[in-house]
Amino acid sequence: MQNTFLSEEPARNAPGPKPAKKLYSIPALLRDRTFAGQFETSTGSYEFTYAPHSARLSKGKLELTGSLNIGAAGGAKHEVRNVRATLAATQGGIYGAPAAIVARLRSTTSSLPITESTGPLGFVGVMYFRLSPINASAAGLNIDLSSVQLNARLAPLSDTEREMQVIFSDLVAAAYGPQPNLSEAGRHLTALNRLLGQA
Amino acid sequence: MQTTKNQKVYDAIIIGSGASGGMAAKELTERGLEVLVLEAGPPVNPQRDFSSHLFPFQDMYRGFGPPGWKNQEQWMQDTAGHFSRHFYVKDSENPYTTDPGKPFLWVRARIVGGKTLHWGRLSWRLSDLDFKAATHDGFDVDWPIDYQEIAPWYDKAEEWVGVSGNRDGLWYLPDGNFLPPMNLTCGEQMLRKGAIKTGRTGVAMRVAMLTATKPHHTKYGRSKCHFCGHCGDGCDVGAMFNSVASTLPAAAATGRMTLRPNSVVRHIIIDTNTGKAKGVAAVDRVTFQELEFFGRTIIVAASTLESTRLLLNSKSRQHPRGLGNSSGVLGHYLVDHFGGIGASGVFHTLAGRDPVNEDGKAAGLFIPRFRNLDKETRHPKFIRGYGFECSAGAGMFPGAARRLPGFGSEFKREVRRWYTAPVYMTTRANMLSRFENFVEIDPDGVVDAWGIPVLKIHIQHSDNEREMAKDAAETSEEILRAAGAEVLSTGGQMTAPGRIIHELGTARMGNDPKSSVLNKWNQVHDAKNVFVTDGAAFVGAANQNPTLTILALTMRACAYLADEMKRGNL
Repeated sequence: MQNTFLSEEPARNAPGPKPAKKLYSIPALLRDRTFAGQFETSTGSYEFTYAPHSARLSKGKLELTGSLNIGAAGGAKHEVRNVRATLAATQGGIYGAPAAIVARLRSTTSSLPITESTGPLGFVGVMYFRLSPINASAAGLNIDLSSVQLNARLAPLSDTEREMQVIFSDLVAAAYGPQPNLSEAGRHLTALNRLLGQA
Repeated sequence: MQTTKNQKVYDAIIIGSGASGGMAAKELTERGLEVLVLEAGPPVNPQRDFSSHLFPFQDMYRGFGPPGWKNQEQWMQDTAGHFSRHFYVKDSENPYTTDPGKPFLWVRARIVGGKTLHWGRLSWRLSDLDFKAATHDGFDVDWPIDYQEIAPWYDKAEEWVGVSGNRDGLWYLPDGNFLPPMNLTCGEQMLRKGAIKTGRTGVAMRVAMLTATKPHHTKYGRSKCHFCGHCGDGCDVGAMFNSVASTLPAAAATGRMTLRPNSVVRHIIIDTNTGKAKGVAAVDRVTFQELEFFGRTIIVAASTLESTRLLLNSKSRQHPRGLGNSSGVLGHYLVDHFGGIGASGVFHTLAGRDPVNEDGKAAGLFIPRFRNLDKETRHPKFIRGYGFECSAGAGMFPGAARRLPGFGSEFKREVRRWYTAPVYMTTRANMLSRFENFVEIDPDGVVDAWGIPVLKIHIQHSDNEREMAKDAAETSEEILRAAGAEVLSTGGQMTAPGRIIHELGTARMGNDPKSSVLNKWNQVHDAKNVFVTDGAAFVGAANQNPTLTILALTMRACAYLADEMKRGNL
């Protein structure tokens, strides 16, 4: 090994991770009612969309079911149907809170300063889903897809995306908090299924 | 893919190349040890990769980047600009999780040099008001060291780094041997008068930026600061202390450092016979090649929470709850300073003034802690204290423009008129170290892009912080008015934990192995050849910026390690 703290390639263009055997996670952005993203492996760049068509609570966890479309960037896509995505955990957001959540500040009564994006002002920024095992050849890939994590970032640009983020945030608060309130979660689940059904 | 085992046994493997890792490399190689530095991110070339003197007009998006770029990959990298984005991690590859309604903003750098490429540079010493805080107010425990013990190491750290500042004679903010201070701007001098008028004081910020050079600075090409104010984009003249301009070249010059970038460490390998560490398992960031390296000692300096994550992920028969966690304390007592509370305004008397070069300096006025110093300053509603970071200069971007209405030539005239007049005050406040604020390996199995389990972070402010924030909001307005400024905004929301990028604790030092992870030499109680030298070792946050203390503790720990190795105790 040699000392290489001075790079030959611009750090700005440093290559990202390119797994060869197993794909651990794929990042996506919520666009309309679909999660869309791209990833790289040692053999190339790929694009995908995951379009959930229904949601339910299974053992207290949010479970989406939908189609995964995956393929080489700019190339033909392979569709894998009925892929389940179970919400394992979330990351609280800080920036760009939906207006419906910012509006809750008005009902916050405290004589002491509050912490940004916390408590009633909290919202979900990223959802980490565990996808059900995917047959790699059906997806047109030659890599282990048995336990892929979908890192779903919520950075809404449209009214639908904002509505989805509020529903996801309220559902997570109800189902994943210290004292889960499943009837409250069920109410938000109904709203989510209504939205997914409009796709 | 087969694991590549490097058969060479290094005297020390250093995980991380930031403030602590870089200093450890320098200190150990200069003491004759052969070290391997593993950095998770790519290498860097300051002359090409730093954008110190890039003007917004040279960029298609005027330095702001294309719409939405940050939201897609780097949403938590608060201080990353489009010119400096490559200094920071991609959140899309590096997850962590939080409880609903309790977010944490985790800014991370995975690149050679770590966060020293863009750090805030404020360099304050802690005093016994901080090291012995529990003796002072009865909350939590004291550090296992006192000021006298660490003072010589502060001297050494300041000498090497180059810290500019005044000797202000404040017992609770001890003086050091400083380079000439950066003079206060007109607005900062006016604000200082307001602070004094209301019974506080104000001092020039002590910053790790060269206002004069010494031979050990120029030897590695470091130059004096020229007040361009672009420190966050990387300082390609080395005026601002960072590993790439300072400690790593010094270590490389000994011929005893090997540095391997793109090495994401999975866990520390334990010798099943002794329970001591014998190496580390890593994965190549790009190719996913599995790697193993072996060493007589391990220095964990990956940054506060990455270090603790690594220890928690290093489970073995001897260390079933993670390396160094026999006490159950590993991961606990997480703190961050908070800000977000303060005041801003304008000095009408400064409107229309032509800016001078010093207006661009990236250092301002600090109003040090004034609550709970003694019986007379005791506050009835909270313990510990806070200070104010203040500025009244004129950076490249005229911040006041955001508040001004209009457009066209009239707008430009107004922006120029108010360019040198704004004044800002923001809080840097102590957060209490509490057991219930902690990190753990995510229990729901979330992993990063390399399949390594990630942290779940549990943290929230208590009423002590909220009472402090209320006091800070009132006091900042009082000082601003006393200084003669027109007050434009006051109060604000407390910053979410993490935003100040002073996350500390989670592998605290202490004398009792039943209630601490490290001893007073940053050495893991449960594995004597492992040292944790970054902010994870902190017992409390105080309200001063932590990097100078991290550097001093690292130097001290390395001297101890080298001595113990000579004695055959490791």
